[in-house]
Amino acid sequence: MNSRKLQGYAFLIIPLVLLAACARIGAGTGEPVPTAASPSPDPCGAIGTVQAAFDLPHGMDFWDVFPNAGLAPELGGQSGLHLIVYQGPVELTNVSGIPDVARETTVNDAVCVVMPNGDANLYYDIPRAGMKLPDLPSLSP
Amino acid sequence: MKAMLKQLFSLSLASGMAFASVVATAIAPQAALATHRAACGAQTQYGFASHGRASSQGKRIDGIRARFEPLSIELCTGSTSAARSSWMWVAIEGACGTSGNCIVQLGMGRTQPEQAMGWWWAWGRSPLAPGCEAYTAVSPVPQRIGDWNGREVRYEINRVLSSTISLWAFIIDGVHMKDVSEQQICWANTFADWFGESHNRGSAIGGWDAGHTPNHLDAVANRYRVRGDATWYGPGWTAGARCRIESPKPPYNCKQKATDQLEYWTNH
Repeated sequence: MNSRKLQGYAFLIIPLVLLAACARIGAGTGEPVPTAASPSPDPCGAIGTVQAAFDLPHGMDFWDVFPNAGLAPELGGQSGLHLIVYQGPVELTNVSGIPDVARETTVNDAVCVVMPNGDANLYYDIPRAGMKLPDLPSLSP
Repeated sequence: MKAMLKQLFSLSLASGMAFASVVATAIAPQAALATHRAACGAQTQYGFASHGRASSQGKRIDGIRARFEPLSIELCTGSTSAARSSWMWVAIEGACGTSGNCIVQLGMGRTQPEQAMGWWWAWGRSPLAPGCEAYTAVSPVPQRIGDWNGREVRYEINRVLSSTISLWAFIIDGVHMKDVSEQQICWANTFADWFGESHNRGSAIGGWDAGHTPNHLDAVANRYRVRGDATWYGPGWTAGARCRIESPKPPYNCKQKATDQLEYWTNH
């Protein structure tokens, strides 16, 4: 191995090694570390397992995917939405409110809908009966 | 070979230092207004909220506002929890069954990973609320909508009705930042709330100084408006009294500093 090659490898590899070391240090603190199965908080501030993520041309298409979902007037006139469908429980970060009423910090059957302007709504308890997800590439690593 | 290893070591050091410099730049906390900080406590889930509430005497609350004084909202230290946060909010809420999600809210907050203070909003609803049985459930997850300009700011939620629009406007210093249509709020807007809270090990709220003097955060000029009346009323709290609800009990505190002013802090 010549010196120039070695120099190139060193600049490439050493930061990666340090990055991995930092990740391990973070993992040792007991704090959540995002993984493929536990992705980083999304636009809805949700932490959970993503079952599918895809675009929806029109808001009314939401009920094509979830035919038993309740009313959501805010979706009606929208176009160009992005959906993140979660499987299993979802932890919600920063859910807020006064102390005399319990907020649901963990919810099930959650769907994050990202609007064209970047706003995001976190829907939960969306019935999965009859759910029709589009044909998507597998999310598995 | 020895020379090669030596060179590798020096290169490692150089690239490592460069990398460390980049990381340090990336994670360096932004300058706070004050030096107050608080160590993260044992809270692992929902943290604290403390609030004052206005009586609407059965009328609908159509507007709420407050003025944020230029103080530093702090996060606790010693944790990297993604959920730690501190906030000061104005909110309009309604009866929601056993859920607490019937709310529209606007406020100032600091979260992880965003270190700088900024404006956040949220809205929610629950099919458990009377009138919402047929609706989907929406969790009021706060979303950042802007940076704080470092000055005293008035923030407000106001119901706007005209022949063409019907919505709840989220307004910061007179600028209409966000809105939700009235159609998506199926619950009855009957409570006006001003509250501060701190989440997940976030026993900081305003922080504290080296002498353990709490940094009080003040929400001043608190006002609300009821349906059919353009006047903005003060909540008329008893000056000097503790907030009606504190949960959990110390170290979190809230006091009605004046008839229209709340202050929040933590003791350590």
